[in-house]
Amino acid sequence: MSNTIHMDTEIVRDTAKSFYLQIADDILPEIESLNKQLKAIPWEGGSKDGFLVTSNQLFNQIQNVLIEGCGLLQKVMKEVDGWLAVDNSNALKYINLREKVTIIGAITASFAQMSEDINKLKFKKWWNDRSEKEKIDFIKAQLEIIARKLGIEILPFEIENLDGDTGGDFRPLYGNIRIDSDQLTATKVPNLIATLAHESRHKYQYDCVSLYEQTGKVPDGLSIDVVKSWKENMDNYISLSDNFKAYSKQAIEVDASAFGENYQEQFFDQGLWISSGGW
Amino acid sequence: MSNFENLKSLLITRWDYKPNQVDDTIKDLREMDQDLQVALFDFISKGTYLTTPAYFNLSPADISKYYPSFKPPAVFLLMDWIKKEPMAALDALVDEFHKPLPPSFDPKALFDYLEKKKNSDDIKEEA
Repeated sequence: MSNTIHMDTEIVRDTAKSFYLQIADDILPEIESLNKQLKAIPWEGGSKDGFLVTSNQLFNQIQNVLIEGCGLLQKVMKEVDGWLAVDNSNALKYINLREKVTIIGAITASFAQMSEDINKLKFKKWWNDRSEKEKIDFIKAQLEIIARKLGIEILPFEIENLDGDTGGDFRPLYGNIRIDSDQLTATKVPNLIATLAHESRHKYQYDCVSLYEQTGKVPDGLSIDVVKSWKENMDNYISLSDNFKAYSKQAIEVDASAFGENYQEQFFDQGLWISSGGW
Repeated sequence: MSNFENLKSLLITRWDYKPNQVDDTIKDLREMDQDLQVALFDFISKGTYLTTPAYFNLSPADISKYYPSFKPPAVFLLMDWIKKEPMAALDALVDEFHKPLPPSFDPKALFDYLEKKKNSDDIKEEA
C-alpha cells in the first residue's frame, strides 16, 4: 500500500478546467450581452443614466470577480503541472525527510516545503510576465536589500553566459558579481535569489577579513576564529571543478550557502516579491 | 616511478591544478576505493569515461556528462564521496547545482542502502 498522501491530479485539473471553460465561454459573454440589452432599452429620462451607471458598475464588479476566478483556476491547473514536475525531481528530498525527521516534524516540514514550492511556481509566473528592464530592476532591488542586511556596499553585477554549471560568482578584484544568463530563465529563476545572496555574502566575508587585517577587530556576532578561517580559506581556495567534496566543506562556501539558502527560503516562504509591491 | 607520481605532473599540466593543491589532491586520490583508482587510470590511458563502477546507478560517465564543470580527477573524487557518504554527497550536489540528480540516479537503490545500513547499525548497537 502506498504511504504517500497526494492529490488526484487528473480530477483536480479536469474540474478546474471545466469551471474555467464555463466562466470563460458561457458566463462572461452572457454578462456582456445582458449589459448591451440594458443599454438598448427604449427608456428616456434622467433616471435612465443613473440606472445605467449603477448597472454598469455592478457588471464590472461581476466581471472582475469572474476574471479573478479564471486566474485562480488557471493557477490550480498550473499548480497541478508544477506538482507533477516537482514530484519527479524531489526523490532525494523525500528520502531525506523520511530518514531524518520524526513523523510530526515531517508533516510540518512537508507543509513548509509545499508553501515554498507553490510560491516558487507563482514567482516563476510573475517573472515571466516582467519585461527585461523590470527583471534587471528586480535584481538591483534584491542586491540592495541583501546589501542592507549584510551592511555592505551594493554590488554591481554583470549577466554573462558562464561556463559549465556556474550560477554566479563574486570577483574580489573587480568588486562585482557575475550572474549566469541561464539563471534568468523561468526554470532557474528561483535559484537566482539564493545566488544573489550567496555571492553577496562572499563580499561580506572579504570585508570582514579586510577589517580584521587592518584593525584586528571583527563585526559583532562573528568570532576571530571564524574570520581567520575565512582568511585561510581565501588564501587556499579550492574550486568546485577541482574537488567538489573539498570545495563544499570550505568555511566560506558553507557560510555563503547557509546564508543564500536561508535568504531564499524567507523570500519564498513570505512571498517577498509580492509584499514589496511586486516591483 | 609510481602512477601517482606521474599523476602529480598531469594535475598541473593537463588539468590546471594549483601546485599548492597537488599534494592534498594526490592524497585524496590515493585514499579512493581501489575500483575507482583503476577506473581513473583507465580514463587517463583511454581518454573515455567508463560506466563502471556505478553507485546508485551513477557512473563516472554519468557524472562527467551531467556536471561538465568537473575536471576528470574531480569526477572520480566525487564518485568516492558518493560511495562513502551518499546522503552528504548527493545533498551537496542538489544544493549546489539546484537541479535534480542525473536521470540515471536510482533513488530506490539509495533507500535500500540506507535501510540496510540502518538495520546493521541497529544490530551493532544491540550487540
